[in-house]
Amino acid sequence: MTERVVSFAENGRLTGILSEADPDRARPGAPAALMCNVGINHHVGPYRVFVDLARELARRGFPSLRFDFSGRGDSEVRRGGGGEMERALDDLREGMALLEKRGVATRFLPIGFCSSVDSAHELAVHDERVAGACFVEGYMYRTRGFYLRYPLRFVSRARWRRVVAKHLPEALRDVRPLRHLGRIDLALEDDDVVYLREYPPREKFAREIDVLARRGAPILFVYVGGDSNINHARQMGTIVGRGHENGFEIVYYPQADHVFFRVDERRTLIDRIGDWASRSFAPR
Amino acid sequence: MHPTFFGSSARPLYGVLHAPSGQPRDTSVLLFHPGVQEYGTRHWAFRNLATALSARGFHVMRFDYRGTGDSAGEPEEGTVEACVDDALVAYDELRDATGTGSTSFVGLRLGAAIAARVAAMGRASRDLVLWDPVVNGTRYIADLQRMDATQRLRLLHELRPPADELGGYRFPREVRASIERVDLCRLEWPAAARVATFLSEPSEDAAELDAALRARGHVATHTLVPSDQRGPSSDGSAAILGTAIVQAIVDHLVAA
Repeated sequence: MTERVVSFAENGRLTGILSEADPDRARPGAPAALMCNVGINHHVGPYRVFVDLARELARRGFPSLRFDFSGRGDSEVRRGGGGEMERALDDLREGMALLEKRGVATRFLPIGFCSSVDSAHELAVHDERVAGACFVEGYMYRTRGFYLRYPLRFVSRARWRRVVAKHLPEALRDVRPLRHLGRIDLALEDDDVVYLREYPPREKFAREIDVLARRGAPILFVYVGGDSNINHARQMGTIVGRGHENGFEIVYYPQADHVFFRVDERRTLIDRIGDWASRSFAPR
Repeated sequence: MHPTFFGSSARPLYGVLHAPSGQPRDTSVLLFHPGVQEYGTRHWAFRNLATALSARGFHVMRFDYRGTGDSAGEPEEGTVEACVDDALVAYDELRDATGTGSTSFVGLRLGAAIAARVAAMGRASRDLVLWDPVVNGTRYIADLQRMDATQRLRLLHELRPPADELGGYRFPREVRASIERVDLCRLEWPAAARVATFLSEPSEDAAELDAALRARGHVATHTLVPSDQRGPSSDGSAAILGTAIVQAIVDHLVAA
């Protein structure tokens, strides 16, 4: 595997790392993965997940570009107007142009994670060069089944422990059975730590996934348990229709958290994405 | 900004050089990131610091230790000694790239302890700036454990991490032991060290370090920069922007 720094777009304002497989491992015709900022995180991603993922994909023969959008991480600010989404899409297309120009790839695989799903989804829907997509903790909508299963969360010991820790009176914080909780300074705004964002309307989302399904672009959806908007893998099928399930995979990790804080769960995520990519994009 | 890989081609390190804008000074500044557990939440603050210093005429370089950011390797390779080795490579890279007469160091959290070690090895550090420094490695690990427990509670995991894991990364025995050996109060500081400590919240450790340095005749200052942003004792999930403290450090280096 080789990694090199690339500066691209006007005046080289965007910065990223291009990872490529060794020549004997490179997968002919493989799409290049695209990974960008997740919230305030720069292009390495939360807990460095994009670095590990890029290296795993390279081991499996896939090139990738992880980079910072304009004005974030190690990229310079872009002059001119445009909304946040418009700028993000322009930056993604600059990245694709770079990879095409260098002969690295002509097909692309955006990998969105939480907030970066927004631009990855838009790109996937509107750019025919996108051959597939992976959305980690992306859009999800509460269904009737979600609300029916909702009370099950109250059998969670970890959830009750968090409630107790948050509301523990000062006088009890040093009492022996509670001391381990009393020493934690938990400044939570709410009991539920949902990483709220504005989602597209559910019907629009379903229509757009349909566009991708008709294009034959495989999609991997990854969701976690905890405070998320999903509590069963079948929930996505309810939203986009079961007929499309052949075109995409839904993975639900009930024990994982939104940022994949635990090392083993992060490794599981990376391996799963690698397996899916290897199965979905056979060498051409 | 000029991002680059440098050092050994087999195990490259990632760094970003910030060229001075306006009249360049004959001083460069090497920035030392915190340890891997605190790296992500401080990256933006370091970019701001580098940009602000370069705007005042300094050549600046920030870099990733092995196993952090884009550098080669895994986090479990990141003993303090390994980070010191990487910093020495970065120091040479900065000196080669800029040819400046002197170099100042700015280190944040564990990066401050690493910067102090590099300075103590006789590298020509003009000024040493310690930003919320880790003074005592054992107490720093206790801080990381509290941060880890808070994250685990928040994210609905069991509170006790696996033995070799801390703060979202592998934390093997060798790394733990190397950090436990950190004690800036006992470090053999270079004779001409001018040490400025900037704190976002009061710290007994930093006050102890200040006293130890002055007792040995060093020029040491100690500045508390009140901020509405979270200090190093926060739970580790929120980004630290450090706008006020960044400005204070820039002003200090310009005045120096």
